[in-house]
Amino acid sequence: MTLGADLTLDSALGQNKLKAELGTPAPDKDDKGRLEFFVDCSANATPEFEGRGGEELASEISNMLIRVYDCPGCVDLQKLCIIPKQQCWILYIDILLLECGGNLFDAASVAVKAALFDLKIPRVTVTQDEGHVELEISDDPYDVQTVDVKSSPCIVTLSKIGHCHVVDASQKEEACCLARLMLGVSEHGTITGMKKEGSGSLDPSSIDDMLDTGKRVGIALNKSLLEALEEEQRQGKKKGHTGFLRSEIKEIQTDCEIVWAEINISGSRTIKVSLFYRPPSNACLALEEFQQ
Amino acid sequence: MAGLNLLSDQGFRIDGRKPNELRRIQCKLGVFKQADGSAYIEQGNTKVLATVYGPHEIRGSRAKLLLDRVLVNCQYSMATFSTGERKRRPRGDRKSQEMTMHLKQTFDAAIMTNLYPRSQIDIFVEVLQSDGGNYCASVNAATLALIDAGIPMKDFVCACSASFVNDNPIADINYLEESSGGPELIVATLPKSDQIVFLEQNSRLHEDNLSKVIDLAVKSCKDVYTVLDRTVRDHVSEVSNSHGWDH
Repeated sequence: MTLGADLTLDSALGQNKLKAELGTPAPDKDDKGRLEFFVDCSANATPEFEGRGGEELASEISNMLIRVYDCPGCVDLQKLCIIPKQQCWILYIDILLLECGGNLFDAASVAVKAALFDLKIPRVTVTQDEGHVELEISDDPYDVQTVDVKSSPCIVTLSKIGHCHVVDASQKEEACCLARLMLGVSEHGTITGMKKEGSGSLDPSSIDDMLDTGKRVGIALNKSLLEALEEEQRQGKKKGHTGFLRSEIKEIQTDCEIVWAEINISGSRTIKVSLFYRPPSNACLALEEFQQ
Repeated sequence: MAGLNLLSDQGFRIDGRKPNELRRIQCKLGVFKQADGSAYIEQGNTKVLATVYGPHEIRGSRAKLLLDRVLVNCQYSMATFSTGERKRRPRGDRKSQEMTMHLKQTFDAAIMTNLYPRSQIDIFVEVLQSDGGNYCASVNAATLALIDAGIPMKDFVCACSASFVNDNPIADINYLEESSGGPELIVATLPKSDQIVFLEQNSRLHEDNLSKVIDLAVKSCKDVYTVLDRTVRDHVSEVSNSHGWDH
């Protein structure tokens, strides 16, 4: 039941994993499942986060995520309910921050959406026997239900620098920005949550401008994220595609066909094998390029 | 032993390994740009990330300052999603505190601490997925990160665990073998000089068998060393190649 999404947004790096557990619904929303956000700022990102140092930022990020996801229609939580008032799925969304490169909130929200997209919950069948309820969780790894993430929001942070505002600010840009506005934007541009942060103040008219930009960027972000996720799902999980061990093979810009294969023999070096086809029309130039 | 046959009649373990065989080790140096040194290691299904910051000025209370050597500061944390059942806290529990102490002691012994008096070296270890041998993977990852940071050490520190099943010592045990109640011996060595810098044993083991298990663990540490050494050499040659240095 553990699924994950590794994410690198610019250089903010997040590891995001989801775990599902059965539990009781919240008393005020007894026909819905629950989302529990937990953010951990690892000291790997910066030594300042050591011990309890990262907790302030962590709770800020998790509160913002709770805020933007606390909107009906973001995630179909009713689907996660098994028996109203008694049993529902609790989704623990754990975010581990490993490196800071600016724009953490946006990266975290993109990771959450990607992880939810990847989520597969085993089907549960409820049998009632003389007032005695029995739950049966399917063993079949393919007998699963998924969560519809189409309408879940992404956070777009707009940082005010001087008289302009920028999206996806780097760490240096964040350092010189006085105020920022964080928006939760869903695929159609609905704003599900908003928060102003920072020591500076904002003019109402500039907030309007920022809202417009945020909406536009949010729609584009949601769209390209969904496309990328669907593309990855189509291709299947290629080993070594994500994660820290991935080796970078330099893309060679040619019209020749190149196929790479990597062979790992335990106890020996990795061998990279490639097949290179030079079309007759092509000059030997490409081959020289390849030898580099 | 909980109905589990840890060593089959043919002499294979649950995951198909031979008694003295290690899990597959894959590692990479320099995974982060921000840190002074970083490394990532996968030992079977155990995945650990280590970063090193420093040597730098003492942070926080100056009472910790050491006049004659560097202060080695460690933090061990486990991601909340690293174990089968979700963990409530990533750090601060007794087990991680103990692990932090062990790491500190291990690297105090290996780093040439007298070279940087009045300063501090931070070693942060993060377990992303845990399948037994967390301490060993952490030590191996931290060694690589320290090398990546260019901090002078007496030698690599390599760690490996071992156990004893049906009169056979077995190396590099995984979570199933660890939790089956058999003895567990954890050893960290300086492989070139054959010095043991850390030794811990859980559960019961007959005295007559102890030397066999230690011997296997020390030998496995040497095997780990071979893998780590090759990774470091590969990394260095890759870096020097990309800079166009002749070597």
